[in-house]
Amino acid sequence: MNVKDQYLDTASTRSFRSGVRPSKSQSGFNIKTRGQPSLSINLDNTIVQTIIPPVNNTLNGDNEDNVSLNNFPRLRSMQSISSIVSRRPTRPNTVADQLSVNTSFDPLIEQSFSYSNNIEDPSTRQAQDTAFNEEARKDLIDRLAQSIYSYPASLTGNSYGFKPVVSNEIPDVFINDNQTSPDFKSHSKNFFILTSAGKPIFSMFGEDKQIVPYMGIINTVVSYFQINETTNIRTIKLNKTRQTFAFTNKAPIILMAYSRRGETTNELMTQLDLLYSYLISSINERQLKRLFHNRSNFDLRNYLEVTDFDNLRQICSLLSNKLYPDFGLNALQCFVMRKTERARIHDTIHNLLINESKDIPRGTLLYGLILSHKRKMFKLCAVIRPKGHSLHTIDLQLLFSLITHQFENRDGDQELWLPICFPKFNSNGFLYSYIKYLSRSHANNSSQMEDTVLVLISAQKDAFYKLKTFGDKLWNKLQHDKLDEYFVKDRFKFRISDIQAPLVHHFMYKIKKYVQYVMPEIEIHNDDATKLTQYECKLKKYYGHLYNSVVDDTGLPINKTILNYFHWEEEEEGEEGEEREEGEDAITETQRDFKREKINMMGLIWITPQFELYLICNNGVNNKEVVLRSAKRIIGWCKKYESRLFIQEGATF
Amino acid sequence: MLQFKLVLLGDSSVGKSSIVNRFVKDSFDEFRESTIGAAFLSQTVTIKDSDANGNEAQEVTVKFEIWDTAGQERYKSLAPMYYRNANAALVVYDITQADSLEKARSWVQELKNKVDDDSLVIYLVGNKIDLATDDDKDKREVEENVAKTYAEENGLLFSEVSAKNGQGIQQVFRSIAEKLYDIRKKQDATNNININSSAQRGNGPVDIHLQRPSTNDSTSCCS
Repeated sequence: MNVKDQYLDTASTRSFRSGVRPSKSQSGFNIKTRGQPSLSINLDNTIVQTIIPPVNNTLNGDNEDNVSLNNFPRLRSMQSISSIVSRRPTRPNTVADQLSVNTSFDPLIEQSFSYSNNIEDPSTRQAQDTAFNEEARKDLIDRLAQSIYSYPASLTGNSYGFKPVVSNEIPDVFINDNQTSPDFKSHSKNFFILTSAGKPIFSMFGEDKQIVPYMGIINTVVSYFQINETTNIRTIKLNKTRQTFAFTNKAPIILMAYSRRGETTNELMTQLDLLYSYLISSINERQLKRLFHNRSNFDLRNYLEVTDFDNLRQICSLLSNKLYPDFGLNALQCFVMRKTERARIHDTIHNLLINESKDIPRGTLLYGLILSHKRKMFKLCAVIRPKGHSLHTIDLQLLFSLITHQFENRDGDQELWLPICFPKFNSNGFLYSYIKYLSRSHANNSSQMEDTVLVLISAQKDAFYKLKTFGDKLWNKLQHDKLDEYFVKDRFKFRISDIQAPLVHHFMYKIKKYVQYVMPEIEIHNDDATKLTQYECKLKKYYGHLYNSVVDDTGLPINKTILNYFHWEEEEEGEEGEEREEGEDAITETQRDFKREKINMMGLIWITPQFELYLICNNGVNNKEVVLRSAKRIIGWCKKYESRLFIQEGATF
Repeated sequence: MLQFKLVLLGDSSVGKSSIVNRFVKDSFDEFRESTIGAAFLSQTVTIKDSDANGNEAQEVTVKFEIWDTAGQERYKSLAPMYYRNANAALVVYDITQADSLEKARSWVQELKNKVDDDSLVIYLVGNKIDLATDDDKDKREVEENVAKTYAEENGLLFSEVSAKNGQGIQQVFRSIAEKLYDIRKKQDATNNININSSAQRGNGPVDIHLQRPSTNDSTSCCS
């Protein structure tokens, strides 16, 4: 592969080969990842070169999503197109200085259309020969547009008749976990929570009788280090099996994470912190200390509820199987609406707060949120907060997980009054949340429900009626002024193709000042849950590698400003293809006829004091200049629409 | 329309939320999440009002504002907020769990101690009778007459219900509504008598001297 030298920054990096050769029935291949912060750019243009050891991994993974032509039976030649980002045909071609692969859309369509004609049987060909079938052509354009992102309603509010289908055609270069096995030891990731006396509290997988011995071992290990080293053990790593055990000792609670997924100690520690924070959100630290002060062998499970365990399980699954940028980026996503619309909503809230001070005396309301809830993820629609104060994202994530669960099989028309401890706000006391579902609507073209939730938080135990009165008035006012329409339907979802950023598959952009981020909508055809999970897992791992390439052992970025390209590429070529052709029944026709795309993925991470940009390119992209230009375009686009994409001020009081 | 506040109390997982759900939505979930904190909802019932002679029935709508509380011990400190100002309390136990009746007794005691209002209607409810049918008697741990005797001794209303099949649920709320309506009627009547009697004595309408409204004078320091 001669391209290697072309865009390799350093001398060829070492690469490991896994010891075991994949068997023939597996469609295995070897992946090498390379990533080194190549340039660290300070904004004042001084270049700081930081040397860190390159990240080298060799992975052996299953290759199933790679040849995902199933959706396009007529367009087999499309495989190569999948790696080319193109704009919607209706968009004016303003970018003249693009790469040759990135020329205008229409020639590509013609080309692939003629190709598809060739592989169709003669009867259809005849029909098409008689007259150029405009409908078929449109259909083809649609399909093409679908294979790369395209969205019916973009941020600009224009709508096109495309079906919302998103390509997930980036290869999976990671180990696929076997989650189905009944044996809990086979899981590549697990979390354990126990008391300092060694009593089990929670584990992500495993029955009681299976995990109890492990709890004893964990307890012993932690105690041993405390006694002999007077320090807490952080991590145990087994390089041979790539197993990592991370410990957190928050006496009287001990937490341990186990991972075979190559996660860093730091990642696991932050995950454990979230789990511990959840515990504290339902039993605050003072209560916890008191419970264990009287009886060190107290069984905390008696004190927790089924809901708590469900929530812990939910958080674990978010942490291990979902793209969960809220946590990974430590930021929240915002519901997109026009600047004026958001301003009107915030003004309404603000005026109501001032005018209704009889109902809701100053100091009653601590914090308020209007949230949009879809597929267990929350987006901020509006924020009511005191000047100069905001809640920690972890605290809000805990609140979100409670809300998700409480409303899962409850009826929308009830209101909830929940005591919740916000560990990052005050780990020793409770705050009280008034929660009301405002409305519920179907998302575009899918069975997914979009809910709008109002949350009002107070420090007063008996503020329910005050908050309820305020909440009712607010909702009536919003409905009366027809402002509710702005957030009951997500009109401004955007896809990557809405931004003129060629070759980019997916990105996440965070503005540090607002602690908020944006990313293109992730949607899968027909809401296929398993496909979605697979896709999210892929993205999660790519982003994980990307982030880990620029952080030190403590999990902090190695420099204030960093720009880094990261590569995942196949080590060898040709060989696997041959092997597979000899293979057995498992090989489908598609696989025999078409060679799998070579894996050659590139990502970009760009951290500055103002923003963070994480970006994954399409497979086969290797031109850094174009990628950097795209990255700049994304940043420019986000800046342009900043007031739509982010809540800048909120209703402050 | 009359409005009454009603609170559900009882040990965890005796079926408080299920009872409310059966009453409000007439539905049942086998796998219900345990309540965290408390849920607030409302539902109306109509009852027939008969005057003293038992004729001329007139329909009365009663709106319940219901606090469905969490049974867990750790939320106990919140309970006073819910039962304060309540007109009725539904104390629920599970007939297949002897402990839950003990818990119910302690709730009744707490209500009697902490709520001054004598007109508070307390209704003791034994839930889950669907689990102890005639063929499956041994699941029952609380005999009906034990609870009934206790209820009578303490002046509580009592019945056994099943949120799962709906048996007796509507009746519980109806009889609470009727009882509260009776109490309200009596209160109104005594109020009327008071007013009438005072009027008969020739004192005319009662003069109420409210505190003098504060002047808008911004210089006054204690407005």
